[in-house]
Amino acid sequence: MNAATASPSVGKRDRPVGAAFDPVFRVLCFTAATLLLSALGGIVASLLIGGWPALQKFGLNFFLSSEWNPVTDIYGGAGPIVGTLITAVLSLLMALPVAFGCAVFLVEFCPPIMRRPIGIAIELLAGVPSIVYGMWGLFVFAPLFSTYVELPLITWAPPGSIWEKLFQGIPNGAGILSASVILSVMILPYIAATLRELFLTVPAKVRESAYGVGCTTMEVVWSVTLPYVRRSAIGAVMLGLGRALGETMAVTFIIGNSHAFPKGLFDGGSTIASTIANEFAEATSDMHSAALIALGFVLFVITFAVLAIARALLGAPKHG
Amino acid sequence: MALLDRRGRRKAANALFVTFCTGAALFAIAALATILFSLLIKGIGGLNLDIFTMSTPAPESRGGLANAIVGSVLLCGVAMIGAVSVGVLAGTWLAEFGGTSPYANTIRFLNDVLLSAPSILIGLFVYYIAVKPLGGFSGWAGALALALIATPVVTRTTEDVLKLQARQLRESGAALGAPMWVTIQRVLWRAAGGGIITGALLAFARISGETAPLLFTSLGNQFMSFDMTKPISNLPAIIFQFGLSAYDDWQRLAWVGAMLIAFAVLAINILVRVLSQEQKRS
Amino acid sequence: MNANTPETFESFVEDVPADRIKLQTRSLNFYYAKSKALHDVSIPFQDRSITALIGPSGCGKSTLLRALNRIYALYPGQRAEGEILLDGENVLDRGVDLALLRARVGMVFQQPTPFPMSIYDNVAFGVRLYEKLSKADLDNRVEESLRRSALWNEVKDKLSTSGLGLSGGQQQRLCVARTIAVRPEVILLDEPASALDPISTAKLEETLVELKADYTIVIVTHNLQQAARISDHAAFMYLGRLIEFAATARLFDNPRASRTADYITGRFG
Repeated sequence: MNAATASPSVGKRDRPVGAAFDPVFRVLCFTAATLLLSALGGIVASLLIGGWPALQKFGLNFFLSSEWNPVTDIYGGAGPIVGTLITAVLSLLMALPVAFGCAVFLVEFCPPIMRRPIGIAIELLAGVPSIVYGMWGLFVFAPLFSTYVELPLITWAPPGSIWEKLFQGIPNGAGILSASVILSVMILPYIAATLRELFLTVPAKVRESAYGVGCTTMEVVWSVTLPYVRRSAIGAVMLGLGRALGETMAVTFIIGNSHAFPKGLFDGGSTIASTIANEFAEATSDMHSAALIALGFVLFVITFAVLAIARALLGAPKHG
Repeated sequence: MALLDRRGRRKAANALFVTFCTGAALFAIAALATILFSLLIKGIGGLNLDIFTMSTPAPESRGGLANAIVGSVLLCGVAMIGAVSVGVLAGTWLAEFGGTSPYANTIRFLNDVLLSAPSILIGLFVYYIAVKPLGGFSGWAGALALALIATPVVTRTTEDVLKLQARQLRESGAALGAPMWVTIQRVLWRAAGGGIITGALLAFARISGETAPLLFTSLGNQFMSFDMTKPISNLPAIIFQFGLSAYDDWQRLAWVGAMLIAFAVLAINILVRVLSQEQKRS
Repeated sequence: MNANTPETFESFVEDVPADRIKLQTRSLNFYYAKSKALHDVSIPFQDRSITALIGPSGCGKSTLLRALNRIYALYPGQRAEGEILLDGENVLDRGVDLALLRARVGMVFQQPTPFPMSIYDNVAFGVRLYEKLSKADLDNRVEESLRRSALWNEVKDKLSTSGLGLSGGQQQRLCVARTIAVRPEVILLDEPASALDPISTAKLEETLVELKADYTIVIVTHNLQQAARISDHAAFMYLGRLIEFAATARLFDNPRASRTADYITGRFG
């Protein structure tokens, strides 16, 4: 004890202020984390339980039939399910090349001073609320799309060709294809941002040595950068797909809201999310609600699968 | 025929590639500019004092968006209080206590799922736990739905910024004999504060534009209301209702609302980026 | 180093007068998960003096230091076996309150770690946890601690500014002040000068030499000159084992183990 003669307060100390709170704090944090888990569990459970009557009643027909009739209380979800998949895939096909171009531009070509503002501008696209995309899509984009894309294409399509079939529908600017275009703008920033981050993980040395042997930028991107991040890049794409699948408001505005099987790209359709948004608050019967919730469950399963794959790919080593 | 030799072809292909990428970036910027521009064109004309002082009108009468703006702020505010309390604690658990245990990894994964789960499904869930059992749409239900969307964002950023703090900062707290929670609360949260605020702001920006989960939780209200146990008006739902209506004056209000909400959200987004750059500098 | 050849490790440990041992380890073994980082280390630390732990990187000197206040307990999977006696009491015992232990055995780290708060609050941080002092008493304690860590004159006019605004050397002395403000009995320092410039290092060393009048100080350093300059005893460690412990002058002038001799003459490490 003699070492501490200078310190009158040494010796019997009390435990520090708040020591007893430590376990409580730990439990609090743990509870909060567990709340997240139960929220997700709750979502799954409520969708499954709520949708069960419809799944049970219509069985496989719920997925195969596109007859959605609140009057006869018969519900087949094939229309919205197919609509969801088609719009998501179409929007991805359109967004991917542009997002890729944006990411390459920002990493390879952009003048350093412009990098930040342009990067932010692209990211801001993700910040625009979904409903604003909806308004814009229906009132600004759709008329233009109708006049300058749909009508010319319909006029152009040779009768009897596959094009004529593809371009079926009312050229009013609202429909499967216009919804996909709007969706593609919405998911573009997500994919671009993830791709850009991935490209930046490629060690400068690797890229520089490729430039060093005389490769053009394009060759460096195709043969060095892309293979290096291949796996995670697919993850990034899946992430975008996940977004597109669940997007609600923008699509609700512009997809035309028809439960029938879309006949062509210009035809009206619906997605799971838009159907729920339109009908749930005014569902006419218990079976109607159940059918909507069952659709929600299907949507959850699809997005969950897509996200799980995305995460598995993104979480894996950055190359290989 | 210089173009046909190998070198020339490669150069030409590369030029095409550069053009494509630059074009893609220009397209993205143009898309943002077009959207913002048309919002201004369509919205600015309807902007007047009535918007902020009067409640939403019946068709073809005078009115504003005051009840919707107040309702949105109220819903988002309450949601953020919940989201920050739960999110910061959950993120802290993941960063400081959970480690790489299977349970922590599961929660991390599920948090990511929740982060990108379709918001309309969150609305359905809240309808089931808070609207149906309590017998009606309410502000609380709306706030709960928004909180469920914001919490994973806060959780994720909190965990990330806490993990960025030096290991020795934790050890320094412990080495002074401080209980762990004191070190976390007084040292780590403070050190990570900027990042946590950034995450919370982003979450706030995200939920302030959310419409889908409010459609069948908070619903809407024609009048100014602060009663969280009753339906509460909110901007996104009004935009949805008025935007798809057949009345010109309602549509005009919807455009004003869309403009307000878009610029508010973008302002927060820009603010966040400015803030986080300041932090990096200091 | 060929791990397959069994090497013999002979320990040369000089005695310290029993009544002056403040802290000692007995047959201390340390494990990171399954790998063993300390083998049977028995070492005494004399009160009111400075003991330097030296040795090549990975020799276990930091591990030993981090065992002494059980800071390793923050990390699951790390564990110590054997005895660490502080005033004859085994701190490895189950019932030991870690917070109280660490209030008695303070620690300063390699990187300066000022808390994100004012200079004053940094120093008062630990004090407030353990003592309810009046404003005046707390002011005195902060001043005294800053004076003893030779920082007072530089910061007395800006106590309310952030500790993060100080230079690296000042930050490190702030960490020393923060540690002694709690009035510990032992101070552990883990290569405290490795991130500092020579002038700051000299100031820090001066501070340590003054502090040893009241404290038992254990310092890990990779800088042999520093060990020679400031320590009273020195311990040479190698591959998780204590090779030699002796009065610093003896250890440097006349090492008994050939490995110690090799190391201090710069033949390896």
